[in-house]
Amino acid sequence: MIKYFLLSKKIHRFFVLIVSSLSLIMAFTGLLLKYPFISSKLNFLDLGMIRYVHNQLSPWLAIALFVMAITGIIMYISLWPKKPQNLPKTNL
Amino acid sequence: MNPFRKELIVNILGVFFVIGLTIFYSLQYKNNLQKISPSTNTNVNLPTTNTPLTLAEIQKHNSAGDCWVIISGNVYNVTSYVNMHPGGASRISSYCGQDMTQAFLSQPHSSVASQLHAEILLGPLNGQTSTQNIQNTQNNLTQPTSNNFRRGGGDD
Repeated sequence: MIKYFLLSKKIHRFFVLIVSSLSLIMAFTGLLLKYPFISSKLNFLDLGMIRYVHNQLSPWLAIALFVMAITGIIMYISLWPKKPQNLPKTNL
Repeated sequence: MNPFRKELIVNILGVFFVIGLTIFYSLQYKNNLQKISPSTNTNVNLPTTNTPLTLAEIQKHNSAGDCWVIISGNVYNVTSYVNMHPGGASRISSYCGQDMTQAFLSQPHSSVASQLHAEILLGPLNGQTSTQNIQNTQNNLTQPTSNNFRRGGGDD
């Protein structure tokens, strides 16, 4: 089980970074879409382009988040505390 | 190689992938926008001023590769825009060669959509004035009867 845990951990760590960077972009573009007055002050930003990027990146974020969640569950389950067996009996 | 260093490189590559993806989609949008612009678009067969935009003529352009639609009495060539629609291509392609006024007005649209409309406008249907048609459409919308009244999450 420790083998699955280590592999999941590696994948999970990678996807944490992917999700973090994607989330930052999604949060920024989402904020601009929700409050268009911000982008009206920043003339170099095209609201149409922001909408398009936000729309196109959302499936990538969903996939990355899904993989992260799955590996997180595997990590959690693989370290599930087992019932102690064959422990030496004590008088205490 | 040190495993920590290896993991660091993979992670950095991942972040670069995300940044690259964002740049790619930004450039793709600009490229698509250039295709839509009538000044640069040579593929679109714009009708001459003598060609009447009749319903029969519009119904000929009923595929995703050649898509004309009617919105509020105006005819639009949306061929280049079909794949750019935030709600997905099917939002428009299912209405190619038809009147999609009800479907369009039932969803909130941004100022960007209005801007695009001005760029892809072919002209009023049958030479009618657009304001008359808009009024007619708005009157019709108060009594929705169409079965193809679509609802969904498309925001453009």
